[in-house]
Amino acid sequence: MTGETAQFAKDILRQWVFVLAAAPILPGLAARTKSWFSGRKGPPVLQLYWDILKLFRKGTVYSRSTTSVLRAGPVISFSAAMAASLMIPFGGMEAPLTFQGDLILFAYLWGLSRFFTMTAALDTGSAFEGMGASREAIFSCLAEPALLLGFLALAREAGSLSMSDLLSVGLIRIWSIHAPALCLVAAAMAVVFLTENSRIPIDDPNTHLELTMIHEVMVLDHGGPDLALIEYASAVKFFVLGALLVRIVYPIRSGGFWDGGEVLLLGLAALAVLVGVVESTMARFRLSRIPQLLTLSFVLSGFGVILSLAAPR
Amino acid sequence: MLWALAAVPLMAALVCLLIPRRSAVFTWVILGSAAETALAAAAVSAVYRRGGLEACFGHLALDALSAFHLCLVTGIFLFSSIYARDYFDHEDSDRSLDDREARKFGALWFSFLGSMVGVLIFNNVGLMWVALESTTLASAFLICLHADRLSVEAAWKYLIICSAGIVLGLLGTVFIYGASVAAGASGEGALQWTSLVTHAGQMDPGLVKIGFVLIVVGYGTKVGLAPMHAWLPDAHSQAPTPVSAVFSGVLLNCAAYCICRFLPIVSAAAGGPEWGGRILTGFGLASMMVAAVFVLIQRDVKRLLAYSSVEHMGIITVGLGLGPAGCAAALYHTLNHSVSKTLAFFCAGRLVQRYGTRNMAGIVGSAAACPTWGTGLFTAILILIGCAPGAIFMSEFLIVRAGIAGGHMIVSAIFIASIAVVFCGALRPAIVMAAGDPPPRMEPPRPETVGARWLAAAMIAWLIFTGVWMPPWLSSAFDRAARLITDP
Amino acid sequence: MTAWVTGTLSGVLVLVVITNFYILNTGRYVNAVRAVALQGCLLSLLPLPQALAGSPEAVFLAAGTMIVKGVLMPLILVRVIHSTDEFRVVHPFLGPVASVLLGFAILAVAFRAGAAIPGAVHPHDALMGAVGTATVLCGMLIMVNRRKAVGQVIGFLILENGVLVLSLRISRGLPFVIELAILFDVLLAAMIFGGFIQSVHAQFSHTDVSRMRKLKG
Repeated sequence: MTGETAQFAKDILRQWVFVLAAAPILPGLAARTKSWFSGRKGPPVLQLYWDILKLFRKGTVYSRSTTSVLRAGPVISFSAAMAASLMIPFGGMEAPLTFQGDLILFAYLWGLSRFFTMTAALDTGSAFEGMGASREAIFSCLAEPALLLGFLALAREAGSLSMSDLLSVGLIRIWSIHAPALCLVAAAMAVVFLTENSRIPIDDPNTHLELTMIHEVMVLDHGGPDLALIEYASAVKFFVLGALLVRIVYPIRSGGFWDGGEVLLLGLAALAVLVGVVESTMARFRLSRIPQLLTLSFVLSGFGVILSLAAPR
Repeated sequence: MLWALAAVPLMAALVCLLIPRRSAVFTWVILGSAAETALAAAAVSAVYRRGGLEACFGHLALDALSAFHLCLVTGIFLFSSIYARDYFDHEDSDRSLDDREARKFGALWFSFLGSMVGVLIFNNVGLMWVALESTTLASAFLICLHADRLSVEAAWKYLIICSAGIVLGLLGTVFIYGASVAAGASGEGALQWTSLVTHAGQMDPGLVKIGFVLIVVGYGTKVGLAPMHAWLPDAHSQAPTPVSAVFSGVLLNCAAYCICRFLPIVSAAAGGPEWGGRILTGFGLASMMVAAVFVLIQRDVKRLLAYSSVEHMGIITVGLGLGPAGCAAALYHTLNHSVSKTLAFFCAGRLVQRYGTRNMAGIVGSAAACPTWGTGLFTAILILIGCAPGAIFMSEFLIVRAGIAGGHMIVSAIFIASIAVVFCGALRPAIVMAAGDPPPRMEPPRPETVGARWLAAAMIAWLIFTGVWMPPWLSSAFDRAARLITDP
Repeated sequence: MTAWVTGTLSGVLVLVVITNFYILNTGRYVNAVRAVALQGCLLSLLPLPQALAGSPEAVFLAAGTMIVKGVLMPLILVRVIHSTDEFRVVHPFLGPVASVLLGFAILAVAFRAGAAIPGAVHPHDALMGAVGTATVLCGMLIMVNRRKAVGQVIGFLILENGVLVLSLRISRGLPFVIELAILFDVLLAAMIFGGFIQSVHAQFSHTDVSRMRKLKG
């Protein structure tokens, strides 16, 4: 009993260490690609590590009109991201945390984190942050069905409701027979990935105009370690949702945890570069166009579900 | 001979484009129609003597049913061509045709005729579809010969609604073809009506039923069955009157003919005529009721006649759904309706020119002001609503009798009720238009040509004559055609 | 039939559905016409199995479909759009989000209906029936949901494409002569539609069909 628990704890710890160590490199890669495209030198790839370290050393200032909700926001969103990271199987093996139905937990951990980020934003009483919160609410409630329907299609194909089975090597067989359905799901997941990570063409993380921002405007009133947690949480989110996408598109089997992690990290690096390319070549959509894009992604993953339901088995 | 039937209108259309002067175009239109009518008469007499004609490896064929419709099409076209010359001569100078427009009219007129003849002589239901779609394309520009806002609007509605409907008809044809291939027919033969009918017994009833519903909805759009009739009153009221007459008199019948062709197939595949009959009576009764309501509220005389067409196409469709006796009566009704509606449009068109308005409240005292066309319109409407000595009374009576004999009591009751409503609704404006004194400041009428007067008189005489006594050759023609629909 | 043919056909059919959704979503008629052109090209791939079986007619037909539906009809429509100066989908009766969602509902219904069409032989037959039905219904949706005449013509062409897919599903296509005649007829229809839209534009100086309401009752 104790041996099992110790092994479990060791697995969790190993995964966490890996995710925490690797995650901040990805936004840096995307930023580097962008600056390469625009002919600038750009920040170092490891810049985010230094930012986070610096922020952790700082103190925080809270407005007198805020309550503990503001303080809970960053902590909960960071812990939700860390919890979700435990369900990603490396190299097609079992993830440390896995059970039937964990994909629903996975989807709603993001919901939890989003809820607290939004309440924290509303708690400040600032008009801009309220606006950002309302946009986040609209767009995520359009993106969430797309994510869940995508999971549904994968679960139907895999015959299981657990993330580890969904993203296992069984995907290779599914690719060989139901490629169209998987393509649709992957496309929908890519849109969800961009939405959840506040990337162009949905949201622009680097804009300087609060009016047009969604995610960044919500965290304007956070500082010091709180901001560090938020930055870290968004890097982890990039890692975890990116890992989902990479596993779907590239479901290769590899040796153990470290090999799998390496392969995954390579895939993620490619994804980050791709995100950089997308961000440099596309313009952000008008806000009114975003629901259209998200509806299309919802319909794509819904079509994937229909295809997998209709396929003869 | 069938080749010539198809070739004459096409040649005539091309020749029209080369004729420089307007009067010569109209003469050529009459000559061409007459030639086509003569050819058709020869072909039809051959059909009745020999039982059928075939050409081009069975792609072209003429049997009793299509021969009947061919007679109707070419005859009405000839009448309308004769009328068209008078009509356009009497048109105000700004609405009349110049040489260029007359050439366009002639070419479109003949391509319209050619495509309708194509519908009738193609034995292949796929080519029949192509020809029916061509009738839409050829006739759309005839509606807006004088391009003004209203006629362009009507023509656009006609084009888009009928094209969409006819695509559904194509889908229905595809379903029937699928059933026919599965039943063992192959290649081009699988779409030939004769082979479809022989294979119908082994076809998958599911496919055939879906196909038949699509065909009734699709071709029914062009027949003007409610609720797909939205284009019909607009197109009929805005088109130049000779075109309206041809629309009502033969175009609708051509589409109904296409539905007739599929009725025996669905009867054989579904194991009895009841299923298809129910669908047809349903659509027919719906059209009759819709038309009955709308006839009551019309002010425009040509729209009144258009809704009357919706009603009569409904009557024909109900008749087709009522078994052999009903089918024969429906064909009889087709003939009567074509002749009387064409006559009504002829008269109404000239009255509209005379009074300068289509509003029935403005057309008073027409019997006195314009004896030929005023009395003609009054008589034509009386016949159309089913007054006793007219032929339409007879055919409606025969359809009701078929309904009651078949035990379709509710159908017959609704049928009679709708006819009664239309009777009252149309009789009042007919009396208002005919009776009373003409408005004081009307210019004296220009003398009518002898031909126009003879045309009207002959049509009325024919309608009353066949209403009182049907010659045996005519009733045997109906019976032979009806047997092709019910029991080929 | 080899597996890769089945796979390719399924992919093509899925793409046809995606072009439908794109046309429902897009706010520019020129983009919609491009998607219609793409759809036409995709449809010309569908007689692939017959062509591989060595039927020269299927190859000829595929080429004809590609030329008529992929090139000529879109060219006509683009010319019409440029000559009437109406590029945007203005105030459709249902917005893009609602119409895409409705299109999704149509797709779900079409999969039920498509599976019910009897006579399935090949593994991709159910998909083909569903995609055909969905395309037919989508075409109708677009026809009633667009105010401009061009939008209705685009809907009509999609409707026609759906019938083509269904005809391949139900009977492996119609006989060659009929298929050619239909193709020619549809091309003629597109030309006449184009000419008509120009005369509508000349009369009304717009092509907003929903504002043509003079004729009633």
